[in-house]
Formats: sequence, structure tokens, C-alpha cells
Amino acid sequence: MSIRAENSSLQRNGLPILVACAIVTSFVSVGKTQEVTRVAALSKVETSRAAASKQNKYTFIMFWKNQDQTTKTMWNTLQQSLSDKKEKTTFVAVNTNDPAEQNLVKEYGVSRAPMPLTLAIAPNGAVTGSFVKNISAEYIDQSFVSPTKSRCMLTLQSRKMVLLCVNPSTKSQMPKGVQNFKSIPCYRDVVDVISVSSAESAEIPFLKELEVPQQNQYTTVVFMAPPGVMVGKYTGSVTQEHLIAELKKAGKSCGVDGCKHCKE
Amino acid sequence: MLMRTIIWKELRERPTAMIASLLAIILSVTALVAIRNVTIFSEKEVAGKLDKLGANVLILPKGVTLQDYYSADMHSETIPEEHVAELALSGLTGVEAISPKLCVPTSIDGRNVILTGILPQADIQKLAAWQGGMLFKKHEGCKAKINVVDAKGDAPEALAERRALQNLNENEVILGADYAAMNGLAPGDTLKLLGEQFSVLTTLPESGTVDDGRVFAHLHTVQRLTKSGEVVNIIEVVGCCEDVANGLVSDMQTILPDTKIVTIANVVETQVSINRMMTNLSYLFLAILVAVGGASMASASFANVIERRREIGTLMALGATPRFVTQLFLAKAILLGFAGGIAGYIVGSILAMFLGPYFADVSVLPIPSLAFVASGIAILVTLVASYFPARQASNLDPCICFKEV
Repeated sequence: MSIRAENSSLQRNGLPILVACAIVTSFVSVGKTQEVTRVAALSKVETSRAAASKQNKYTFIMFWKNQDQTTKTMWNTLQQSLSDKKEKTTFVAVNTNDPAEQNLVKEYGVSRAPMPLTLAIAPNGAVTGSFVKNISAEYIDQSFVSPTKSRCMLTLQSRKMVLLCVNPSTKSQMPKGVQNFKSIPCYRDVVDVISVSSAESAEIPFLKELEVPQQNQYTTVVFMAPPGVMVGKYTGSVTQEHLIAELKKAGKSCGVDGCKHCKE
Repeated sequence: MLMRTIIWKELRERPTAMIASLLAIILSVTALVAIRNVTIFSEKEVAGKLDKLGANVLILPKGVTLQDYYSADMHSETIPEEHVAELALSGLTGVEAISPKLCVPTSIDGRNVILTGILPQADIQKLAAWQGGMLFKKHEGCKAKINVVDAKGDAPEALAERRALQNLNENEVILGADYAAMNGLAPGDTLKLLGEQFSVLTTLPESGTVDDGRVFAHLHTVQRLTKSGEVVNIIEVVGCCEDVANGLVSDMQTILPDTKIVTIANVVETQVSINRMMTNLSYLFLAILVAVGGASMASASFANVIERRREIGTLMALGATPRFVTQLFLAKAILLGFAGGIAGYIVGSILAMFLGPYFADVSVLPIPSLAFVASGIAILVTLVASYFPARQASNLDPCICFKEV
């Protein structure tokens, strides 16, 4: 009795289910087609960068104009320094005059830059290093940054501010002052809140660089503004008013109305 | 007889001594007021100029001599645009904005115009943001300029004040006030320029400089249309003053050795040195006022006491106290000081209005507050100078005075 009922229900709902399946399938296939089209539109280097990003690898792009000695030296240094880092890097060379790579040249705005120029690009797209005419193994090593640092760098490179909350544990809550600041309409779109646990071993060098104590009972808030200025460091009890005041102070100290001519 | 009446009679009866001491005070105050007046307006002029300038460091081709800041880019010599990226990528501390310009005189619809290519800041900030040099450094004073998205600062109209523009598409132009007014163009209109159509992004407010007659377009568009190549005439840099003073210029010169780097201090150096000289001169005249005016007043007062021994003795015999006699002399000194200060202020202000445009190339107006300063100083000097003669007069013995008679 119940089997028959199920069959009749299936017969009754069969058509709508088929239609729904067809719609879903068509959406999926359209999505795939769009992706294929987008991938096909990418240049060789863009494809390589996208693949590296998926594999969580860094991409080193060397832009060049002339095959002179400086270019050759830079390329050789790159090859030698990255040969033992194949599992986490890829490197490519781009001739800025190559019509196929014009999108990439435009994206990074390097058409009039001094050449050769190498950019280190983190898996998330942040430029973590730029090297003009000279490069060394030491400089290359400095380009590898922690995931949180690369997130901060990407945000700052988008002309947005960062409120980095260094929490004592993964369960810590976002400080109230940070939440309030983020909810202010004029700051909402120009600030990103990034949280990190001070216990994460990968972040230790970054936290050392920021001089944030690792053994801290409370959340530390690091306020950063583009291009890469630390506006201030506070405890978790920081208020939105304090953050606004610090930001205004930082904005005032330079610029047209500020200290340009030693007025302050 | 009232003290006022006695003083007035005394001044009327002995006008020569009074005029001599008054003249010394007037001349000193005149010189002080005239110099101070011109200095204040000259300093205001320099401060005004500095306020209007968006950049304080100019990077020019080696052979260019700078005559006028606003037309510093009006020359045919060029430097590679590559220098802009070199500067942006160098991560120098204290560089707030970099604005390259390429100026090409051309004609649009038969009218001569200066087509100026500018590079939007967004293109330059992109390069500067890659720099690890400044990354996560503590914000201290003007060592690190923050650069957050800002609707007002990023507006195209900000070009007039900041001399730098955040965003500009390659098919857009910005018009100087005069050019827009002469051609009846407004934001949103289209303009044909060297065979291509451009949309007017905005028109700039009047600045009273050559910028009013310019048409601004994207640097790369100007380079392409005028076949100039990847070059610029000038790179304007907004540098933090502390850093400009502390080696930023020499660091720039190291990065760009084939260029000439001029700071705004060099541009206004002449005027600043004139101001400094005039300030020193005003101190010198203050000293002269104190010395000459004071000595003149003191000698006139002493002479007055000697000449008026009989009158002073009579006054005291009639019951005038030494205090009254002292007050009499000091009140006369205050009157002379006040009259000399005000007269000196008036003459000095008139003199400054005539001399200002010739000596310091600034137009000068009277400064009312200087009247208080001038009369205050003059009264103080005459009071001090008359104090001892007044004391001497008050110590006179009426009996001895009558014996002399």
C-alpha cells in the first residue's frame, strides 16, 4: 500500500522534479561554460598564476623589456633561488611588449616601470615583494609571508584599513569597540576586521614583527591603514571613539592641511 | 589749576623742545611700523603661496632653470616617466604624493591651449603599496601618511588644491576655469582633442595661475596623441617637511642622478631671506627707538627741569607735593609718547603702503593692532626716559629755588 502510494506520488511529482533537475543542470553547465570561457580568455601567465593560487603557491613574475645583462642576471637568480621551493612557488617571465600579456601589465600598472621588475604574488593575490633590477635569495625569502600577513597586505593594497584582532584563543570574541567601529557607515566599507589566534605557529614571525606579545590574556587590536602604516596597538577594551580619534590624528599629521610645511 | 591745564600750558609755551622730542619718537616709530607692516604682509604672502602649492619638491630635467613655480613644467626638456615608478617603488619615507606632468602646447578649435598630461594617483599608489619598507611601521608625526579611500580627497576637483588626482580615465579631461568659461564647457560635455573625443570630467575653480588655461588629460593619452614618448616634463612630489629637511632630497637625488631636484624652500628662498632681513631690521629700529627716542626724551626732560626750577619751586611753595610734580612730568611723557606713537603709526603705515610693492613685491594695508604696539612702546620709552628728570624735579627745594631768584 505504501509502495503504491510512493509510486503514485513519484508519478504526480515526476514532471516538476524533472524540470527542476533540468534547470539546475543548465545552471551548472552555464557556470562551467562561463568558467571555461574565462579561463580561455586568460593569458598563459594569468593561467599559471591562477593555477598557482589554487595550489596555494606563490607566483614570481619577472617583467622585462630588453634581454640585457640585468634581465638575464635577475632571471638566473630567480631560477637558482626558487629551484628548491618548487612545491610552494612558480615563476614566469613576462615581456611587457607582448600583446597577449597586456591585461597583466595593465593590472599591475608596470608598463612604465623600470625593468626588469619582479613581483612576488601570494596565493591570495597580495603583492608581497617587488624587486627592481636587483634580486637576491635573501629578498626572495622575505617575500614569503604568513597567511594573515598576506591578508593584511591585500586589504591595505586595496586602500582599505585593517583591524587585526590577535586573540589569545580561537574562541575569543571580536572586541566590542572593533564591532562598533566596523558598523559605522562611513568606515564599514573601508575597514576589514581580520582575526588571528596568537597560538598559530605560522603567525609567530608576523606577530613578532608587530610586537604583539604572544602570551597575552586579552585580545590585542592592531590598527593599520594603507599603504602600510600602523596607526596604533590597543587592548581589547579599546572603544570606537578612541579608534576614530587615532585615525583622525593619523590622517591629520600629513597631507595638504598637515605638516607639509611644518605648520603643526 | 588742574594738572591737564599745567601740562597744556607748558607744551604751548615751549613748543621747540616738545617738537624735537616728539619728532625723535615719531621717526623711530614710523620706521618700526613701516618695516613691521611690510614684513607681516610679506610673511603672509609666503605662507599663502606655500598653502596654494600642492608639492614642495620638484624633479626637473637637469638643464631647466626654475623661474616660476606654476609654469615650472612649461619647458621642452623631458625626463623618462620610468622615474615615477622608481620613486614609488623606492619606498622613501616622507613621500606623500608623486605627480608627473607632461605639457604640450596645442590648439583646439583654433585656440591655443596647454594640454597637460597627469597620472592619476591610483596608478602610483598601486606601486607604492607593494613596498615592504614602510609596512606596519608605527605612525609617528608625518613619517607615514595614511591613504584611505576618501570621497572628498579623491574627487576630481581636488586637483586644484592637491595638484594631484586620484582617478582619471584615458578618455576623460579636466578643464581649467578660464578654458571652460571661454568655451562654455561644463562637466559631462564632450570635447574633441587631437582627433579624439573626450568627456569633460570636471572644471577646476579659478586659481589665478596658468592652470586656469590648461586642459588636463591622462598622461598616457597625452603621450600617445602628441607622440611624445614615455616622458614627462616634471615630477611634483609632496614630501613631508621633516623628511625634506632631513635628507629626503639627497635620497631622491641618489635614486634619480640625472635630474635636478628643487625644493619649495629654494623657490621662496629670496622672499624668506627678505623677510628675515626685515624682521632683523625691525628689531634694530626698536633698539634705535629705545636709544634715540629715550635719550632725546630724557635730555629734553632734564633741560625742562633745569629751565623750570623757578616754576617748580613756586608750585611746591603753593602746596604742590613732590608726588604731584612727578605725576606732572610723567603725564607729559605719556602724552608725548602716545602722540608720537599714533603719529608714527599713521606715517609708518602710509610709508609701508607705498614701499611694500617696491621692496617686497607685496601689497600692504595698515594693521590696526600695530597702533597699540607702537603707542605702547613709545609710552614706555618716554615714561622710562622721563622718570629720573621727574624724580629730580620732585626733589627740588622751593627755598633754594627762591634764593636763586
